[in-house]
Amino acid sequence: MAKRRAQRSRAPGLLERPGIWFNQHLQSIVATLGRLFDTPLPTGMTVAVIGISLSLPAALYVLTDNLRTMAGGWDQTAAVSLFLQYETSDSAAAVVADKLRGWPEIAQVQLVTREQALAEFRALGGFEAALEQIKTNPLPVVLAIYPRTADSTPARMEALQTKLLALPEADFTRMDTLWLQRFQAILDLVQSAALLLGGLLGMGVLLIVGNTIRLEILNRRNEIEIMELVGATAAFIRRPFLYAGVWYGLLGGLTAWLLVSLAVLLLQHPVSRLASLYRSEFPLSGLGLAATGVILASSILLGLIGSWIAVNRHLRGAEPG
Amino acid sequence: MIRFEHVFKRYPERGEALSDVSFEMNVGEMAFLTGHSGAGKSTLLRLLGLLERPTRGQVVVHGRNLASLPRGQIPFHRRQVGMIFQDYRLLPDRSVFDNVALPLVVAGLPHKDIGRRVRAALDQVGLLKRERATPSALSGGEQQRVGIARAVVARPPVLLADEPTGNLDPDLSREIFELFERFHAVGVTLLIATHDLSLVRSMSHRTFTLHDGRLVKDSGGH
Repeated sequence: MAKRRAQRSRAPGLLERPGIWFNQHLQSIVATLGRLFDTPLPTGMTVAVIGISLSLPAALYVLTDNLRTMAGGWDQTAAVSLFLQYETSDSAAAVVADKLRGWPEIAQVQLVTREQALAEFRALGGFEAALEQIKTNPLPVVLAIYPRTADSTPARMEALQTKLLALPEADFTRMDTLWLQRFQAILDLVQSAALLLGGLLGMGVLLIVGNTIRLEILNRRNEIEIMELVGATAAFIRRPFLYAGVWYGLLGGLTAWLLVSLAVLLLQHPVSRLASLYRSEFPLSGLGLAATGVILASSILLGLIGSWIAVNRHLRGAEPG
Repeated sequence: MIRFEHVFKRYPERGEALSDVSFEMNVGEMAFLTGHSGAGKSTLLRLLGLLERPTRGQVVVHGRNLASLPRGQIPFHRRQVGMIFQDYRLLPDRSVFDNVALPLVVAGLPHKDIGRRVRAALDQVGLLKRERATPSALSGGEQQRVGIARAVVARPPVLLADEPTGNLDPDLSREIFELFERFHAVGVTLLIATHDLSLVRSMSHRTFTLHDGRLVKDSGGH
């Protein structure tokens, strides 16, 4: 009998009693979730705060992602549009185009005849009445000029424009990429801001979870003391609080995902309407699989770290005086 | 089973609670610990349960020197020592069953074993029918019996009780002490702190008397 007791008194190792270890974890995971659902209002509020905090950077990500997709569709537009003098005929323009094709900095030249330009203009819609009034074609010949990639830096583009304007047939040029570059820069800025915001709100989530867990530890002080008296290990006492943090993180992450997805769904209709006004289609993309994974993983991690900090500060295990 | 060797315990605010206490108890022995309030009875029990560590001296329980036991081992020591308190220390929002099951849950026993053992312990204290009640629905005597069931459910070789009948009337106190006798009969080592001297006298067991932190009388043993 004494021998049996001596055996029982030994601390069970992880490998010796994997069943116990696994069971205790499983029990703790389920019991913790049950406890969270026992108090739906405070749990819901904590989860909502986490969800809203995480949905902001996630929404910014979706926004920049969609804008980038949209901008990607414009990459093929001409880098420089050279508008020729109104008197220049299509055949004269073709000669100019051939000459330009010989320039080393130019990769490709596309001729847009007056008729083509007019047809394109008509297709845009809304101008039929005006065009009827004018009778003659008011549009000049345009040469769409695509520079070589190496020559598309702002300085070289500037030089190219000057060179083009020196041509006798040239009227004026327009850079189509400048605003695109600006747009890209703005997107980069928004994306950096989203990251920064994400970092800040992530810290907020950490504090929210940490504080929630801290209050829970204080509320259950009596229970914790009694568990320590009957031989609960520090790990056993910490476990439910750490799992609570993980649950808060997971539920908060799911809430953020739901909020963003809902926003995308609600915005799809107005965006489609706007796109249709531009004779275009634009299906909004929501959070992809990878982005969803990142959101859930980071929210779980934040929950775990937040609760871990609280647990480390407020649960030191049985400590004899 | 229990050995104190020149144990001192000093609290910074209260001064010396125990000074130079030495005694030894054998396996299966039952003893009372008496003395005036503040004589050091609770301190002595707290040292045994490792709620405190001695300032000086050795406390050995079950061959384990508590002075040098690392912190991580404390829970496993406590599983070997059942503790009973004057204020019962039950969880008010849990059923009697859950309260008694706590030491087994904490030790990671399989679910089916827990049910069997909790009912056996409740049967021993005569509360089998109240397993679903919450402690507040029970009388003081019943609550203390729940506390006792919780202390014995993991079948620890040592039971410590700190004024277990302090809040109970004489009849209930007698019942509780008779319960202790039964555990003594099956080989559990018991140390019970009490100032109910009439009960102590009526139950010829070894008695330690503390006075101002010193062990002034040991009625028997070695």
